[in-house]
Amino acid sequence: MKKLGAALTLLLLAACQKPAVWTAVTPLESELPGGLRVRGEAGWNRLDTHQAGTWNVRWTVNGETLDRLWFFAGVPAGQPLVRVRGEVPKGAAVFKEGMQAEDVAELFESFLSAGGSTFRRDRLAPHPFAGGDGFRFDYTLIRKADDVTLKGSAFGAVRGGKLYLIVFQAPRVHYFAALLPRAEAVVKSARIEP
Amino acid sequence: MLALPLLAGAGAAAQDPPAKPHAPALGSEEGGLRALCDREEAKLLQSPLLVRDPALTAYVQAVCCRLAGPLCPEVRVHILRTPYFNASMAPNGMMQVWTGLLLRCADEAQLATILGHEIAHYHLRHGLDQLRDAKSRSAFATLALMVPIAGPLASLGAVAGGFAYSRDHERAADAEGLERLAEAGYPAGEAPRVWSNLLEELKAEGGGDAAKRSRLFATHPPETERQRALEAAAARMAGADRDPGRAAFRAAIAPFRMGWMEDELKRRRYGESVALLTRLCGEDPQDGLARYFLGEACRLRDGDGDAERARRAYGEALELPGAPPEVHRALGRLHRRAGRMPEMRAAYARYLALRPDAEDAEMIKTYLKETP
Repeated sequence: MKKLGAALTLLLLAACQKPAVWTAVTPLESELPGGLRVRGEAGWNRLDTHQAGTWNVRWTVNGETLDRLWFFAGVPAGQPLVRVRGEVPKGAAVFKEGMQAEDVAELFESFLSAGGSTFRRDRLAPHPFAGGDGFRFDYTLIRKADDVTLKGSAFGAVRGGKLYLIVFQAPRVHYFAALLPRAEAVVKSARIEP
Repeated sequence: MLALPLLAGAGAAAQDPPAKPHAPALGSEEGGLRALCDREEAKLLQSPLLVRDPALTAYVQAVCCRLAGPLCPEVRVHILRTPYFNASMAPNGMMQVWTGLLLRCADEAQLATILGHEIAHYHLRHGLDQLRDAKSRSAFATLALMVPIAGPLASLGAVAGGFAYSRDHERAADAEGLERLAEAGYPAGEAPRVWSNLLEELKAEGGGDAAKRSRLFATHPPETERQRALEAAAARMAGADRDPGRAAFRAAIAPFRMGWMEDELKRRRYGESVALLTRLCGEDPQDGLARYFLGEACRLRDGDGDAERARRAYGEALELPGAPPEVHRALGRLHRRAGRMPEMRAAYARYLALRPDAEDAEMIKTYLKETP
């Protein structure tokens, strides 16, 4: 009976679930999960999925096939970069405490290439993040769905046992170079308030 | 009991396939099928996965020609960089060979086993037979309309091979393929080994029926049956002492093996990768490259005792020829984790000396400055 009640509650909740909507990012400081705060100039749009308890936030200027700024804000140990319907996807690699820059890059690569896209890391280097030490890695991706070659730059750090990662990704042709400075400005503004 | 009509010795009623019309009418079924394959081939030539290496392509093309005999001018080899075990020949002569297959072959004879099998499908015109089967026709039409050739991996094989062949087709292709192998001067004994190696690898991952997880096994005769039939047929053939072409094969793939092993790990089926790399290390105990990647596969699998297995494999790779500079990086990583700073510095310094332009050099230089 209890189970039935729970199932009904879930059904009701699902019925009330709002669709994901894009809203304009105001040029003020945005609060993201995990205590991450960033400032984005006008022009960015934020995707609201209305999913509580997720650390993923996505921004875009032109639409996600053309550019995406991806936040993984405070991924706890034992969790994947993205949960699917609130679950850890089967066989997904998870963030572990004590992971170093190269481990995070490897984790991100395995997440991004899981669907068969071709990933190549081009550079891994130290890079300041949210007022402390962090890392940056750049990569090239051949997107499986349409064979488009994309470039990406990821900036991050592990703080308080949680992973913070901001990734900018866009097609190599035009969009990546055109928007990277705007993405870097967002990364530069990042701070973490536990 | 499996009959091998083409191998049953004297008196076997080997059925000759009809003579191949060189330019089927476009309005005919065969003409339509070929036109469709030609279109897919044009797409394939644009694929970022196509390996554009004239030497490697020419080598595989030459092996095909040895097997195809008079059909040689009709075979066009395209090598695709994708880490799965697959090869297929379309009814228009487009032969796709995936790099995952090349990585898994120990010698030219093993490669020729698979290529001979696919050439036999082509020669016996199984693709056309399948097209005449209504069920496949709808599947094929769906496929042809919806699937770009370099799109979903499964479709790559499906478009090229036409779709899964029937078991009878597979048996006939096994038989003719083996004949082609022997006629081309390869030892037939290598043939059953190719299949048993692949099955062993699939079983290593556990879960479900391993044989169902590869397109090449989907409708092929049950493995044990196929194994027995091939072994019996091979035993009847002469030439067990022939050269399987190991040196030539290894020389042809040597420049690419490291990239293919990296691709293999990116499949994220670490159980299968550990099985494959263990086998490669067994085939050539002096192979430092395979030994390093065995360490990587164990590290990534991250099961009980895998950290120790990885450490041991890296250590062994160090002593072997062909180990890449990355083995020093892997050891540096382990030392850093364990707080063994002097060892870490020595290993990382060695890596940077060998790979001064490494993409992660900047990061590693910061590790060198760390103090315990």
